[in-house]
Amino acid sequence: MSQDAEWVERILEGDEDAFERLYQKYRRSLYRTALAITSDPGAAEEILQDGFLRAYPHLHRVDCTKPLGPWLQRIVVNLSYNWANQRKRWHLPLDEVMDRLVAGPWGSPHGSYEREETREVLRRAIESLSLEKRTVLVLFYLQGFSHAEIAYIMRCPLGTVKSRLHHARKALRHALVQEGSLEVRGAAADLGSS
Amino acid sequence: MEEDRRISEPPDDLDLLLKWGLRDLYPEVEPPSQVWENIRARFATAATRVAVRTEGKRSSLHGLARFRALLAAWSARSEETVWVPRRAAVGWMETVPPRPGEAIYDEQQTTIHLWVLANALGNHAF
Repeated sequence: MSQDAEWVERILEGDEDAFERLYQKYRRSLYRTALAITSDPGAAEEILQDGFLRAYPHLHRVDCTKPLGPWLQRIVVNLSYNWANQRKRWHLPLDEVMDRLVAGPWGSPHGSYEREETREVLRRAIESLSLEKRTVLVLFYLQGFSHAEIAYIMRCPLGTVKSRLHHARKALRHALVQEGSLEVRGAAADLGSS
Repeated sequence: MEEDRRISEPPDDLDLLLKWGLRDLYPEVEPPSQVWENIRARFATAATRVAVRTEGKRSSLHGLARFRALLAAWSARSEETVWVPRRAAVGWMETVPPRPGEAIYDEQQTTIHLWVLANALGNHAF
């Protein structure tokens, strides 16, 4: 029996320590997902809390032969969507991203100034994406889930995951090349391709 | 596809930028301890509710056992005891344990069938 399965069995018997152990194992990863999708620490805390409280009554139905991570991520992603849709704060127009162009030379990538600006440009570019594209990016690049796992977490077909990832990358590449944060290099450049 | 590309080709600039950029933007940090305290408080409440329901069911079963003992005592007083499978006017039904996953009955839903002692009670229902 896996560690997760053993904890679930004990939690269903009312063992609070087992529930805490489960929380301790997944709390940072889930918090990170919520924070990356909502960009709001307060919301991420609330989502993390609600996520575990919603998970508890459904633990008896979970397939404990598999790790609980993707299942818990699914709950957190759904709660993040609910929060974002209620507030409609996740989407920034791409124009607003472009308006933040900073005049000045883009020199060595090792300079702290350029790094900070690249960081800011990336952040704004990600925030300009739709909720679904942003979530796919977070789950793929930040959390390292496979396409199949992301399809399970987001409750959508595998093809949809790949399509969203493709379009997200394309939109980000366009924004970052425009900013000068990313150079166009040969076959890796798909800018302008449909 | 993307996953195949990742396996067969080295990551491009954008892959690397996104991978490290996102980790830089959203590092794995410790959520506030209050989050767990809030979860623990609600977990204790939820676990208590389950215990109260279970206790309620136990009380109903205890009442059923007492009633059966009473019926046995009444039948012992009668010279001729005939159990008539007739529903009492009150219509109490025997408690049925819930199936796995089924909601636990509360005390108000617990009922008992009364088997009337026709001869001892003169065909009078409770």
